[in-house]
Amino acid sequence: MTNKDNIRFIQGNEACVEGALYAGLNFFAGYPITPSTEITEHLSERLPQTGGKFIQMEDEIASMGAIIGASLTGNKVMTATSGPGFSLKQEALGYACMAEIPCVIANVQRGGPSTGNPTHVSQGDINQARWGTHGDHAIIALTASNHQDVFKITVEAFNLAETYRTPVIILLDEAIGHMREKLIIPEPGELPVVDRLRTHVPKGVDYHPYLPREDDRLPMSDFGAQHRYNVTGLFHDMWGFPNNDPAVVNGLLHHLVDKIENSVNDIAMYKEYWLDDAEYVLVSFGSSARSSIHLAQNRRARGMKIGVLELQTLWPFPTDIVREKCANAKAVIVVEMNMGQVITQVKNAVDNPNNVFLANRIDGQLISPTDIKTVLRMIQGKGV
Amino acid sequence: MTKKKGKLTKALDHLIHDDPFSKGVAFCPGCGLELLLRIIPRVLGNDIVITGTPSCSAPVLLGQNNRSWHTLSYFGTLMTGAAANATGLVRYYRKAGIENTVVCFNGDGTAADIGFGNLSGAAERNEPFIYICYDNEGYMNTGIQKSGTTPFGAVTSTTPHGARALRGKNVRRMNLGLQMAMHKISYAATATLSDLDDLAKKLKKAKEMKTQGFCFLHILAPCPTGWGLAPDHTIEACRRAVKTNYFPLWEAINGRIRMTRIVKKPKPVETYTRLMKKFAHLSQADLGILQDDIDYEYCVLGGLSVLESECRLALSDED
Repeated sequence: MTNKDNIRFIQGNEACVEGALYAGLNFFAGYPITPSTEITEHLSERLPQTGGKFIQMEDEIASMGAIIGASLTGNKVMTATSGPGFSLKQEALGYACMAEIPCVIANVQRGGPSTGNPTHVSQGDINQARWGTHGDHAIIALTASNHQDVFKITVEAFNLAETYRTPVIILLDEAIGHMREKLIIPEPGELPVVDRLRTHVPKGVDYHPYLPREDDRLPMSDFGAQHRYNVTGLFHDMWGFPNNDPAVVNGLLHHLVDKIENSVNDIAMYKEYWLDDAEYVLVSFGSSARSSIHLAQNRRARGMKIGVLELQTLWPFPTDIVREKCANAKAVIVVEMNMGQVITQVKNAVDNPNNVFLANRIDGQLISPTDIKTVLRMIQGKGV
Repeated sequence: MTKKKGKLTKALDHLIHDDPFSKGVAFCPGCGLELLLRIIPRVLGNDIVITGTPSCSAPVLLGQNNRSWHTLSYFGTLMTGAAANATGLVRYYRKAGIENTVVCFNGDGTAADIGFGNLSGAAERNEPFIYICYDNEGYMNTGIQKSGTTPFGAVTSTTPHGARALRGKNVRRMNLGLQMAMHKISYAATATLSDLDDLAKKLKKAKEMKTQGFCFLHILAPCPTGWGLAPDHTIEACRRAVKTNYFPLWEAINGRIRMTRIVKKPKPVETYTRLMKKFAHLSQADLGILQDDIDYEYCVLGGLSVLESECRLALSDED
């Protein structure tokens, strides 16, 4: 029986706030930007109440810098932004990848490029989340289509950040961020919460901040506390000292990419609806998945064999899972609100890329079940 | 009665150009920004090139969905590059010998926070354009969050008042005007809407001085919506801000500061703060801190305004 006090009727942005607090967020630095401002506003009130620290910084770059600093000193950290702000954060995001500093960045997507369409929905930052910062690197990006899942993936984002010592991006969209719906906050302990792996090296003994354990994980020491060590955005050795020895550079870059790409199936989160006998598979995520599920439900009632694969992990892209789930499909329709970003990955994943079609909408309006139905009928040769 | 009438014409005398804005623009009732925005082209001329960033001014200056409210040229820039974008314009105009008045019209969020870096850069290079910061003490367009110029104690949606020692902004505001004057730019000044004559003169002066280099105007423009101020109290708030020395009026030509209005018997800051809800929760102790801040800033300003004559020491002949 759910405790009545745990039921809320809130915005998606607030669900993200609740999830972050559940995961143990204790430092947030932000800068207001539509449509993610509610995350900043609610945390300005909630964090001091739970003993955490909230700062509003002077710009997007500064807020990213602040959370990197706070994370090094042992806090669970987050910042929230939207498209233009996410662009500004990219250099620091790359730094966090390189220096292996856990942090969570919530990007509530709006229409782009540039200032774009601030108060309308879009899913155009998928590729930016992957390749926004320069150089080879791996990244984790999660998304969700309803508030219960927003809560869950936010907790998971913190867990992954701490496990892999990497920035994790939460890709919400304006429709999810501003929509109000029910959220049942789980009891403490109901969802796993991963805390940071801290070093057991005692004070006064040499600590190697970048010497991985056998399982590739790096135990951390709170910066400025027990041990003295270097942190840098340059290629570095196990002490954190800059090093351009080709073997060190090669080794570190492989470590940074492999630690995430090799765990793609562990990181992958997805939901499936009626996929067992599906001839038509809708691959979607975020708010567009809601329209996909609605359409599939509707068509199922008329006897059509259609199912939905809802992705919650977008990066690293769960290629194997997509291939497996779409193996028996006559046609795969990728439903997204951009010019076709996830479809490229789906085409790479499936055996027959010619059977992959795009159903999209890019005009700032939520894609409707009818929009998807139109594409479906065209594929079936029925005309619209 | 006649005296009052005379005063009114004095301010109107400066408004020699047409008002390029239509009636019924999309501002909140009582918006200080609207009055300011209408005055600028009436004083400087309708041929100015105006740039601005995403802010409360943008919906009107940019227009929306086939609607435009004015006949000026407007360049909507990014907040991070406002002064740099204007630099690009003026450098070209100067090279090509084009006479243009570039007015960079930004809020305090851009000027004091995210765009401060390149504002300071433009001032350092003494770029020939006018930068106007309309200061409504917060990010009003995104829903009233605090900015660098939000004063101590003010409630915003990211500096709330409530339980557990939350009592509005807990740090003081930055003095943007003085910071810019310290760049020793061609012209820096503060102005507000209760002294339109003073404001218009300063705009004219800026237009004159911008041929020599950077001009910065810091203008207090109350936001009734964000401050919890009655819409008919906008001008009164400006008047009291001046009378309490909360927002003293001065100008600096090549870094030399001169008070343009000296308040002989300043009122306590309560006369200003009691007009608006954002200060409603302040205790006497908090008001003391705010008053102390105002006194400090005024003392600095007073000191700087007499500095030149009193502090210039004779150079020594010795090596």
